Amino acid sequence: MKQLLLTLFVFFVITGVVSAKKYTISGYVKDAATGEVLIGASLYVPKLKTGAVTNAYGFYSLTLNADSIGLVIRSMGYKAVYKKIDLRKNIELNVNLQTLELGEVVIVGSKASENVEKPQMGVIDVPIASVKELPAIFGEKDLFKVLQLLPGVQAGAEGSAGFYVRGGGADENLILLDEAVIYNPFHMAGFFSIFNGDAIKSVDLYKGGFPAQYGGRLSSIIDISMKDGNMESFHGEGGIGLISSRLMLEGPIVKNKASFMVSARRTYLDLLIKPFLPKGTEAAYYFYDINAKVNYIISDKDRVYLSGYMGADVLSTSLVNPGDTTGVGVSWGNKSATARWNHVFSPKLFANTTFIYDDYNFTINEQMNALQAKITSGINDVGGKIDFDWFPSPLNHVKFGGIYTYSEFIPSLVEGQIGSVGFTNEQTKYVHNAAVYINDEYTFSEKWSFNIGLRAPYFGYKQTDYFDVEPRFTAKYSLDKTTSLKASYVMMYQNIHLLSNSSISLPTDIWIPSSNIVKPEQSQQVSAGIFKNFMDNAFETSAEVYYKKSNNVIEYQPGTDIFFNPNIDNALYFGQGWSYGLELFIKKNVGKFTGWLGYTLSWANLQFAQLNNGAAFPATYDRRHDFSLTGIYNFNKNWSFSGVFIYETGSSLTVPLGTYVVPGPGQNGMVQLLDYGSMNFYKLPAYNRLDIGIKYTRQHKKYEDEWRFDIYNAYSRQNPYFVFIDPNYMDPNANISRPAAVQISIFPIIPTFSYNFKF
Amino acid sequence: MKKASFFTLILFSLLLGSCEKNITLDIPKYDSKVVVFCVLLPNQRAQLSLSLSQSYYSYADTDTTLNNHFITNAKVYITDLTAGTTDTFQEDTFSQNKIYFGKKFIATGHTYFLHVNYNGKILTAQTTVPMPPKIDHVDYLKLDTTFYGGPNYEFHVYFNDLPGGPNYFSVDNANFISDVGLAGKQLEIIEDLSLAPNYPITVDVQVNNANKETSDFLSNANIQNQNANNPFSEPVIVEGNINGGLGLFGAISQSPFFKVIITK
Repeated sequence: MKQLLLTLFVFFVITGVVSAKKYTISGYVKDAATGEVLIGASLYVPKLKTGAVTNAYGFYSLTLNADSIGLVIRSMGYKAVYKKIDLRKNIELNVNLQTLELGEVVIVGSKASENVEKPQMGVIDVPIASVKELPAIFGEKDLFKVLQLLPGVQAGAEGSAGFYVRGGGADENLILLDEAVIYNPFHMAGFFSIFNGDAIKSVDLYKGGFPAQYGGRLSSIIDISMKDGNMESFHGEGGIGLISSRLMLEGPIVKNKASFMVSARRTYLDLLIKPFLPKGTEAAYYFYDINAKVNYIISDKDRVYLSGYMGADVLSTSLVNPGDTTGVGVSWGNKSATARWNHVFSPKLFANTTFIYDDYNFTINEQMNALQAKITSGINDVGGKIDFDWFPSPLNHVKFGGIYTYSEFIPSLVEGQIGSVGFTNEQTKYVHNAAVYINDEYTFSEKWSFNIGLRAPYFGYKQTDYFDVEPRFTAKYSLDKTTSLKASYVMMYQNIHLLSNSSISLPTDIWIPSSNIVKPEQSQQVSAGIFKNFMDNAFETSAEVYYKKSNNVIEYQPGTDIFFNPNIDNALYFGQGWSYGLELFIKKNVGKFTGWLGYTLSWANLQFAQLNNGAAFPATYDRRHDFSLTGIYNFNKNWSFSGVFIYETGSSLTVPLGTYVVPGPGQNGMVQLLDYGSMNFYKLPAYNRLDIGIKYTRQHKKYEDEWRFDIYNAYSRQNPYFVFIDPNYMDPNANISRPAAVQISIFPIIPTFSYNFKF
Repeated sequence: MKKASFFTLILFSLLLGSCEKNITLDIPKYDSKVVVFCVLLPNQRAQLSLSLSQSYYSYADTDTTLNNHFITNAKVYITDLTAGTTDTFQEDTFSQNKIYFGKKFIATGHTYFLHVNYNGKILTAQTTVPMPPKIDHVDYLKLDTTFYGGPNYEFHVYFNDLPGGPNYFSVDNANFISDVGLAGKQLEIIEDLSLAPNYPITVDVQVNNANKETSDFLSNANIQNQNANNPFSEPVIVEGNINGGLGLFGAISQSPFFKVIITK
């Protein structure tokens, strides 16, 4: 199988090279106003019916016969540019695109027909503009809450920014911010993601058909790029919300040579809560995040980027009474730093070299009179990668490269002292991760194109080494200019695993690496779909089906203390999971009304020999139906209206059916036990919610501002945050205590005013 | 300031506007199951309790009603598959908990097969009696003083792993450690005890060795019981080894007592 794939790969590249012509046009496509490079912009030669697309750094390369050609350059939301080129030598052509005025088109996606034309499936270019336009709880615009509205992505608990892709677990999503891994992308126990929309340029969500440059997780890749910073002039934007405020500044350091972008956000819950605290009690909670990036164009061939992220949640309480001092401080957060160097070796060969540092850390400080303890858990990575984009012919876009990461895992580090006696318990693990990959996007004919790739990951921990091979394949067949059929097969391996000790996203979840006991998780996914655009790409539609099988998925033995267990690997169960479903997507890209409709019909199951008597059971977020409808209507330049409606089947729950008694250990009398039904057999009530928002924008001479009024959960539905069984529920009607299911709902109707500005 | 407090009040009204409500679960009708509980101990006669489970949502007071669900008039016997003998149990009609007991003494290393017939319903299970461990030595460390004035001690109990297995060792029959991956090594169990301050204090320490089904049932039962009032805990399903019913037919072997004398 591996040999066959390799042979096919070599064949595709060679046939592409043989048919290659003599001269190459290459360069960058940029936003004319800001100088930001445009990712995924298309360059099309109508005469030859061929073209190219810019890569993640806005670079393109197109090799053609010597000829006089017309070149159309377009990117969604920008005015198309037509260039006449007499191709008699290699040409370097940088193109600046002007943004369209509001009313001409509304920016929703990137390239209009990319979804149909590219031999890639299961990928969604997340509409960043929508993140700012759609209503949000407390006015906090959240990237991940927009992700949850896309087909194939299941939301976590009520209000949570957590998500599950195609039946995979929460740890099966790789989140990259300027190529650095973000291990805990949440603030406030999962209610908000750490990504400040003001600082984000683009987001791509891959849920299947993964290109070979990505790996390390089973279910999805979320590739987020920060804004580079405006090369032309100084600008800023910000906002004042109910619980936080934010500010982003960007501008040139040296005009058209170097620029910067810096953004910051902080909540002020700690300040708001202060007047209500009892005397002698200190309690505070806040979160903040800072994004920063600088970039410098050294020459036509070289450009460097430095970017960083730092954010944390801080929670502290203390009680000081005479002779009694207790206090707890908890903080968790991520840091990342990326240094990148783009180099154009030749018009056909582009390279990006990256150095990456990232760190996730969770700390509890506790003082209880004579006892002082500090518990730390975290993971940090130092690594480098190199990625090449090679354009041997218009028929081939070959990507190849490698990555190496050295990781330090600290599942738990306990330090402290009782009086004068100190104690420490450290379990640090050092891990090597590496991979090489090659991927060719090959256009075989006008009808057929392929994306064929191979990734070979390596993982090493102590004396344990895992070498694996991951084949990736996607085929596209065009029925006509607006319709295509696609099918893909991918294999993925995952060597780091999240142990979560609750059903909600808490920072106390810990990451562990594979070991001689914990084998790499593996998944194989096949998918197929039809992609069709209507009315000159005004409407995008797609229908995809998928089947994903995962092996070595992990659960831990019930009641295991994951935090203090020095031998956690022995407390794990290994099983299998499988999920399948149908995803429908309709998106309207242009006009006064834009938005999309997503529907997912899906099943997700797990099976472990040691759980549920060995029988298969539904995953917690096995939701049969998941429907979301979003819409933005621009009345005019001043007023716009937006809305989101969500309906999804309730998540799964294990509930007791019966009860019985057995003798307790020793002479402890009788113990009451519960007879549970099959695991996760019970479905909670369906979740549904309507959010609406209205925005009033004013244009001033030097700045623009907007007032927003959002209503989250407009009809105040009491959706379950979680349901638990209270054995002693006091029935107010019968005035007796009895076991009952109790639903906690946390967000009723929440109206929010917010103010945003930009200059 | 008044304005600020007003807005803050609104904010917290919203934040704390979380709602708790009783919901009715649409679950299937629950049919009572026969519950067996029997842990075999070497050199002792087997004792077994039989009861019926009931719907979790239909009872008024568990302690009283469940204790009324002990079963009488069942036919119970165990077969010693190693020795090829059968021991028919008798019902203790005087015991409040309606205990059934055997006549023969249980032997270490033997495998037993349980057969229960209650109103035509047949329940079966099988278990093997493990080897008893032997304590090598015990260290102790005084931690602090309890709320009631007595001392807290941390005991470190050392013993050697036993051949065969896997073995599951415990001091309290609730928290077990496995010898998987530690075959033949010296093992340690740490146990905290609050003691009365009557020095010299004598503590008799004993280590138990259980088979897998016994360890799984008892440890999961302990965790489920501890988490009974914790809404955030994941459900712990106590899986027994009774075919056709609930409960445990297990076995434990105990070490000889190791006497520890603590002087002030």
